[in-house]
Amino acid sequence: MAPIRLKRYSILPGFGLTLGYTSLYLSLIVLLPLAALASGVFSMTWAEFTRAAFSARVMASYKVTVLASLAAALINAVFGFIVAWCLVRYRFPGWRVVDAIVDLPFALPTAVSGIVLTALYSPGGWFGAPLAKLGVKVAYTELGIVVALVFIGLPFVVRTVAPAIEDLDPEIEQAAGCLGASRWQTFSKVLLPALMPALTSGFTMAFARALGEYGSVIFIAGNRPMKTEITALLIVTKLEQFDYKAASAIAAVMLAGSFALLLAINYFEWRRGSRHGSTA
Amino acid sequence: MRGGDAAWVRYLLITIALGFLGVMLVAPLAAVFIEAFAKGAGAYWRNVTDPATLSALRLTLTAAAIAAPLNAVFGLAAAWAATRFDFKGRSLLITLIDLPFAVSPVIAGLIYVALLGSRTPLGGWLGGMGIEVIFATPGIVLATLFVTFPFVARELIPLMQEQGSDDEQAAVVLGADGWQTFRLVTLPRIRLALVYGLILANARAIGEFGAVSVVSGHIRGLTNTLPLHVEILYNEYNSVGAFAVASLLALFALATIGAKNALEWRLRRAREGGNGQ
Amino acid sequence: MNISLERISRSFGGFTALDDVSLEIREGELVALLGPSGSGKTTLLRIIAGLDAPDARAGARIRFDGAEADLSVPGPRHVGFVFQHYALFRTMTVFENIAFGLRVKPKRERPGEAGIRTRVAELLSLIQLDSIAGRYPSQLSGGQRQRVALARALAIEPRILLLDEPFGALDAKVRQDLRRWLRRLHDKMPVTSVLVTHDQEEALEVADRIVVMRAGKVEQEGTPEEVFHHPKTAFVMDFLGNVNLFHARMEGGHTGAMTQVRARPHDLEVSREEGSGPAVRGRVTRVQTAGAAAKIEVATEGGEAIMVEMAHDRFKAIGIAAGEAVFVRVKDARVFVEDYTI
Repeated sequence: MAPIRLKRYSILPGFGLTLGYTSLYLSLIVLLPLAALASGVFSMTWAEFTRAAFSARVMASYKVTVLASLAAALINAVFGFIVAWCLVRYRFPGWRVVDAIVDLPFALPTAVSGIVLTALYSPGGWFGAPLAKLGVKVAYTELGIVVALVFIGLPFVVRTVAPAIEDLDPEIEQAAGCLGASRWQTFSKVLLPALMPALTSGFTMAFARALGEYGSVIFIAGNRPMKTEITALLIVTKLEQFDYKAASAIAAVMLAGSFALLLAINYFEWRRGSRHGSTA
Repeated sequence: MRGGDAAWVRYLLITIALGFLGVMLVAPLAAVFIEAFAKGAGAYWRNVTDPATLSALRLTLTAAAIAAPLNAVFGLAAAWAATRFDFKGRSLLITLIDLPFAVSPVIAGLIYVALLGSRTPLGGWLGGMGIEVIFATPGIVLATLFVTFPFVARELIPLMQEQGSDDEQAAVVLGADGWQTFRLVTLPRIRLALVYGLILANARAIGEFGAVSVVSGHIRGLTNTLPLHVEILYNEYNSVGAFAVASLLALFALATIGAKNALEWRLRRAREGGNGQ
Repeated sequence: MNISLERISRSFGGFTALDDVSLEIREGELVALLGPSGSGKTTLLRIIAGLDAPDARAGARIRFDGAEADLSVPGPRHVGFVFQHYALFRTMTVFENIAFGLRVKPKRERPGEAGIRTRVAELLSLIQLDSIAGRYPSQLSGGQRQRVALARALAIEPRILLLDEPFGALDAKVRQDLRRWLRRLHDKMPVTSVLVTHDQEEALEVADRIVVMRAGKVEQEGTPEEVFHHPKTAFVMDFLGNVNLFHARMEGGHTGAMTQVRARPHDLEVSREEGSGPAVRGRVTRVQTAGAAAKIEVATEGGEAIMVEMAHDRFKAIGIAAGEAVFVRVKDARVFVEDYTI
């Protein structure tokens, strides 16, 4: 029987050093603190846990967080797709600036986006005032949360979908055209299905980011318990009340959700690679 | 382009895209500066040069300056291990490196409180030796490290994977030792990607809010970073002050975007030219 | 369908891909556009398909069965087009790829689901891939993908079939099988076809007629026999097979002029005796008998390298080995006017 080996033979040096350092650093900075949280949660009884993590106020926060995140991710999927399409397919005046500005939500600190969106959408703001006349309140409502989450999620969709559009083989479109497909048929039957995996992962990433978002939301949300209180804020509130157990229990539920999404993203990437991966 | 979208489709889509970006991105960016100067340049300057602002700036830069080299070293080591060797658990390692991106910033702060807070065994022991971590500068540095953890590694790993190890193997066969191989062969080819990762990590380090907020304790002049200072000023109804500090961060964000684009342009050219220079 | 191209030009920036090309393609024929890369053959094919438009110049005209095509309207025409890299739809199965052209037809022309199934089944058996209808393109070999691409193009019953380097990305063996299969298919279903290739063997084996292109112009057109045996220019002769070059001084009409004489390796003969008639003296540098014919390399006294090909039995009869002094006699050769220098 062949001996079981940890790694394949390589003439390059440094395996022990780099893997050792990587594992140590990863353990200290990421895994150990996560384990500390987990051990705190596992020291709770089931009753304690459910009381902390599934009370009415916490459930309401899950609901508003998930629904607002879903809505924002959907809006981003639609508009992010259009932005990505325009950036890849068309050249227009200011194209370079538009391409660069898409990264603004990545670069702008969330506290800054939080206060400026609040200023814009509060009843006296640039957008808030005309909307108020129409009877629409954005700041300090669920809509405000959605606006903030659209802001921070947009680049995820654009930056995931744009490379996929760029990778589309122009011959695919020409082939569909030669076979008699109209432009719309080509788009809906050939291009969109080919872009769907990228769009799905962009959507999922924007959604995952929105679930955990804190800084840009808390200013505009109004944070009314049972209504516009997001889960991340609730964790901070519990911490400020020195209720570490409740904070940990809620965090554990959130982490489980995030990791499930991470797995989903990996699964989409993997499926994209396996079924349609090699060039056809 | 023959067979492309019709002109009316093109104009419609560009109008939608520009309208959406204008409302969602450009208006907020402009509003930051307009609000900051709402009471004139004098008020702006007073807020920016306020001692509390300067001390927040100092702490922000300190945390970023500590995080950058640690991230760079970790990113290089992780990328070398994950792309130059084939070993069991390799894909698990890559997934774990990305893990901090899946964690809410608030939870990133919370896990350090759970590990090092004054009521935990480890935190109590450190406290007994006079070392404060949570509600002090070390906590802020740790939280910053956590949220910027994957940036460099995730830029380097795909690039080094794509480049393959042929060049390094050639160098080793020619008699170079590991350090020479890394310095003379690998590093020149990944230099731009390394800088790119550091720029992204740095932007996040300076702008991080949630994680730092949880571990900071909000002590003005002691554990206040610039984003936290924005919050404090805003909650004190000092809107002009909050936006003045915010405008500093926005300027930094614009510089980040500029540097990122310049690098992307060079990276693309390098890739088209076939080498990593 | 007859295709008539008149005075077609196409330039990309400063580069002239097609320079005033006129060409007739007749109903049911299989024409090969043959030429090196950059000769304009693919551009011409794409213009026929409507994937590209010729430069707007006076006299530029394309007619299909006499009806003039409007060159100002962009967009692909309904033709069967087989792309070099197949351009199969990755998100669809083989079946759905082939059915695509039927499914996107306007409602009143579209066959019912049963009709589509029958038609696709016919095509699958035509390309001998009945068993893999449910697979995705990424799960097929290169040769299978190529056949699926062909079936997909044929599904809409096009009156023109255009093939752009259809076998370019395949292994030598698969390529040979597929081009014989394509020839048989065309004999069975004579759709007017235009094939672009840079492989002279492929063109000679498959086509009814060959159009040799060079630098955006048609160099010569004719049957495979015509272009191979009666090349009109040195370029055509060089491009269609191996050629030996001899430098010679003319006698008679052009006394004193230098010229180049071209001879195919199988039109040369090697012997130990000088014999009668003009011959070139040389030494055998290498003998290579692994292959369809024996190949003998001879270095002439003038320092030129000559390749001679002969049948194996002939080679055995004379029994020449490397190092021997020999005479090379030219049985058949060609001189082109363009090669004169005074």
